[in-house]
Formats: sequence, C-alpha cells, structure tokens
Amino acid sequence: MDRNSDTIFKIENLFVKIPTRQGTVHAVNGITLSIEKGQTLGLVGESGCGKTVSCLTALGLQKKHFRVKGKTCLNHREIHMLTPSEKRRVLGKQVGFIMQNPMQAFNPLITIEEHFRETIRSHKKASLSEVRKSANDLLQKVGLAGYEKILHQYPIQLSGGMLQRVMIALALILKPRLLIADEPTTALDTTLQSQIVKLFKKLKKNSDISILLISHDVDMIASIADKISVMYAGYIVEQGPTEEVISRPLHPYTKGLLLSRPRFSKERLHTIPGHPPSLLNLADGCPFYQRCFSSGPLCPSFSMDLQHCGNGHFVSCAYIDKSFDKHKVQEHGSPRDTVNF
Amino acid sequence: MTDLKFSFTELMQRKPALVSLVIILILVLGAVCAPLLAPHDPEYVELGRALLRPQTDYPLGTDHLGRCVFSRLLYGSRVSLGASSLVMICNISISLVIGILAGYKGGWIDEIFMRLGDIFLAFPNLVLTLVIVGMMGPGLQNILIAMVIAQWAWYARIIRGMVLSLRESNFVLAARVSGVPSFHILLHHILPNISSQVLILATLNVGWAILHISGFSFLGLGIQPPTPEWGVMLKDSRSYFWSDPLLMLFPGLMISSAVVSFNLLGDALKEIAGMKGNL
Ligand SMILES: Nc1ncnc2c1ncn2[C@@H]1O[C@H](COP(=O)(O)OP(=O)(O)O)[C@@H](O)[C@H]1O
Ligand SMILES: [Mg+2]
Repeated sequence: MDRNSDTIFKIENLFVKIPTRQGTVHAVNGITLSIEKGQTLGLVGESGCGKTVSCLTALGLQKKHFRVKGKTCLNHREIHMLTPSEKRRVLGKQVGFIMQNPMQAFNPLITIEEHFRETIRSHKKASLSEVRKSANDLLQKVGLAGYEKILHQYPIQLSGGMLQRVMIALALILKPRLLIADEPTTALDTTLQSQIVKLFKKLKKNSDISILLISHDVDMIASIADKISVMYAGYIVEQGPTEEVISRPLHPYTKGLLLSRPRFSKERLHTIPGHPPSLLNLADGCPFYQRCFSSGPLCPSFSMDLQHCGNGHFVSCAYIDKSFDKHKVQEHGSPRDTVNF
Repeated sequence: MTDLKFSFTELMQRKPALVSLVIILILVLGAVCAPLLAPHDPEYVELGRALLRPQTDYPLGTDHLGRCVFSRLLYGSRVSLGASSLVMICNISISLVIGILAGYKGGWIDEIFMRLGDIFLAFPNLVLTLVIVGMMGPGLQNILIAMVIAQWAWYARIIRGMVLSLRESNFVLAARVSGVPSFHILLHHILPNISSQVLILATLNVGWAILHISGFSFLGLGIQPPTPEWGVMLKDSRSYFWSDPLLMLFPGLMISSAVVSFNLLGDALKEIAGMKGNL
C-alpha cells in the first residue's frame, strides 16, 4: 500500500456472497475502487447490480449472514481491523453516508432535530443551540432555508424530497472527508434533482471532500464525477476518467448504457436487449455475454479481469472493440427492442 | 410503528375498548380504595348473619360464614389485580431483557436463550404451571413464580422477533452509519418502537394472569382461604350453588368482566397498531 498517495478510500477485491434459501446471491464479485482526496468517483449501474451492498459492506455494515472477502482502507487504515468503537467513531465523523431510501431512513418517533442531535453528540459535545445552529446552516445549504419548522417536525410530516435533503445535511454535518451518496437523486423530481446536482458541484468546489456517488443515472454521474466505474452484475466492467468513459466507452454494456439515455433527440432510443442476469447462483464468465452484440467463444469463460487500455481507462471484456459505433450497436438490437421517442 | 399518543385518541373512538377501559378503571379504583369503600371487614366471621340476601347493610349479601360479599369482592380485586399485575411486570421485564439481548446481540446469546426457551415452549402452558406448582406446593408466591417460568419464553420470543426486524430496519442502519453508539440505538430507536406492541402484550397478559390466578385458587392451588380472592370465593360458594346462586354469580362476574375487559382492550390496541396474526 502506498502511504504517500492521496488515496482516501480504497476497496480492494471485494466479494460479497449472500446465502439465501434459493441459493447463493453473488452480489459483489471482486470489485476494486479507489478515491483520491478531493476526487469524485461515480459508480453507475442498473438497480440490483450490487452498488448498495458494495458500499455498505465496504464500511463493515453488512448484514450478519453475508459472506465477505476483500479489504477496505479508509485513510490507509483497514476498516475490518478497527475495533467496534474505533469503527463507530469513524462512521459519521470521517465518512458521511447518504442512504438510498430517505423515507425509511428516519426513526418515525423522533423529530428531525433529535436526529441531528444524535448524530452530532455521538461524536462530540455540543449544546442544543450549537446543534440547532449547525443544523440550520446545513439545511440552508441543501435548499431547505426558510423551513425553520423542519427541525421540530417528525419524519412522516416531510416529503420524500425534503427527507432526502435532510439526509444529505445529516451526512455532511460533521464535515466528513468522504461522502458516500447512494442514489441521492432517485427519490426526487427533476427540478430538485438538478438542485442536488448543483449542491454536489458546489461541495466539490468549496471543499476537498471526496465523494463516492452512486446512481443508475449516467448523465447525473457524468456531470459531477471525475472518474466513473461502471458496474454490472456485481462486477466493475469499465473504469476510467469521466471524459474517457463517456466519449470512448469500451465495454459493450457501457456503450449500450450510453445509447439508452434519453437526450431529447428524434433518434430512436436504444435499449439493451434481454434482462440483467439474476445474481442468484451466477455462473462464471462474463455476465453480459447473452445480451452482448459482440460476444464470442471466449466470453463464457472470461475471467472478468480489468485490462488497462491507456489514459487510465480499464475495461473487462474479452473482445475489446475500440470503436464506438452506435450504428453497429443499433443493428444488433432488434426493432422490437427499440422505443420510438 | 405507531405513536402512543395517536393510539389513545383512536382508542377513544372504539366503543368496546372504551367500555373495557372504564371497567378496568373502576376495578382499579375499587381495589385502591377498598378500605374506604368496604362497609365491613372482609374476613370478619359472624355465623349468625350467614347467607343473607343483599340488603342495605350488606349490598351483595353475606356468605356462608357471614362475611360481607361486597367487601370481600373489593378486597379480592386487590389480590387479583395486584398479583396479575405482578405476574405481568415480571413476565414483561424478564422477556424484555432476554428478547432484546437475544434479538439485538444475536450470536451465541441468542442461541442459548432461544434454545432454552424452546424447552419451556415445548410444554403446554397450563401443564407446565401445574407441574411447577405441584413441585413447589400451593400458595400465591409459588403460583406467581410458576406462571412467570411458564410464560417468559413465549414473550421473549415475540419481543426478540420485533427487535430483530427493527435491527435490520433502515433507520437503525442509518443511525449506525452516522456512528451512533449501539446502546443509544437500543434505547432511542429500538425500545420506543416496540413500546406500543409491548403495551399490548402486557394488557393481554394481565387478562390471562387474572384468569389463571383465580383458576388456581379455585382448585385450591393458589391463594388460600380466608384471604378474600375471586377464585377462592367462587370455590367457597360452590356448595351453596342451588340455595344461593348469587354467591357464585358475583365473583364469577368480576373475573369474567376483568378478563374480558383486558382482552378487549388488548385487541383494540392490537387493531390500532395494525398488528397481524395472533399474539
Ligand atoms: N439481504 C439480502 N438478501 C438477499 N439478497 C440480497 C440482500 N440484499 C441485497 N441482495 C441482493 O443483492 C443484489 C445487489 O443489491 P443492491 O446492492 O441493493 O443493488 P443496487 O445496485 O440497486 O444498490 C441484488 O440482486 C439483491 O437482490
Ligand atoms: Mg441500491
């Protein structure tokens, strides 16, 4: 491990298998990520591909029955080596976590202010007026200014969008060095989404906070992140600087993903044929090959190792095709699989 | 998850629950104020006045030993309500501690308590209580101990289930993610969120305990005469059933109204809390 680098958060070769009654769910299959100080990494992938499980497990917050392999370092310290009380002091203080479902992430019996008080006082002494002041400051920053009442309200009295923003404020209140945002815009309508995106951009500009931004929305990720990791069925299939990945996608899945974005054009919207594979008893080899337009005989036994293709761009594909020819992609999607916009 | 304040207004809108609550309040009030309300000493024997009909001096008449039935019922409610509350408090606090430990800590603690509980749950409740009383001998204290031994596992299991599902809930995860100490999570997130369900369990348990304490006293295993108690009174008046049926009617009415009230109240609370299934 390079102690001199500015890597603040690193996940190395993380595997998560979930035993269930029907069999083993291969939720995460050896992902590696690293985030440098001040950098924003976007983790993009369809829902169910293992994004939430990855980052919760990386922080040691997985459910008890999950089988985990791999290691995570935060500030060059391995998280799994920390004692429970050390880990507790790191969470919230050094890592802020924005959870996926804001509607379920608040205790229905206590007010928003009590949530703030609890988070702050778990890490430092603070008087009630200090708590109120810092909570109000942050609520203002997340666009909830003028809602003084919020602090005294119960979670059910707020809308999903408001709770989402309260959640962001809660994650930021102790000025963490790393912010993990799990689908922070999914619960919001479009205008609020752009507001949150602006907030993240401002946060990036005004502080040296590192952000792990998780979403299924490529455009949102592309507009904020410095680096993108594309996740599919528990694998990272492509990784690289945002510009690189967006303009020169190498993995067929990424190509499909980029083509399936609505861009308000008259073009037909591309969809990737088929369905994402079930992670239950996932077979070896490339999980995408049944849906892939350029698959070959090597795919079913491909090791899914990432290969460097220059410019910090990594991809795991047996047949790397450097051209991003959307007509070629569309030829392969049958007419049934395309939607007219 | 329900708010207790919210439940109370809803409770007021349900007729059976409201009536039960009033009956329970009257019973409790009668028990607390028994020395003030009772016209006679409940244990004072006056054979010359045996088996009197209800009259101004003796509102509900006298029993075969000339004791005032009304006074005995009043004092009896002290014993019945007091003892069953005691059973409930012991049951609920033991099973709260065990259920929370097992559900929240999990691992071997959970394993030990739940396997131990399985052993107790393997026997029918009543049989287990009878066996324990049989071993320890009759008496109020022994009955209470036997009832707690026979019941704790059942409640502990239910509470463990609630804690388990809350532990996996998103807001508990959110608290862990922000570094809230686990004892604080237990106290501020888990306990308040199971309190309404525990209240329901407690209510139903009191009803159950009243019935069983009276039942055991009726069989001569529980409270011993001359202590006034509903079950004992029922037993004493058995021989006078044909000549003086009222003697049996009054304690019987007390037992059934108390038990039914607690059960109705518990059911109403259950309905308000939206709990499914049998508790
Ligand atoms: N507790 C669990 N038990 C079984 N399977 C689970 C559990 N949690 C998540 N999974 C499975 O793991 C996979 C990844 O889930 P998740 O990380 O939530 O996806 P997402 O990328 O949408 O965040 C999904 O296929 C999901 O079904
Ligand atoms: Mg998710």
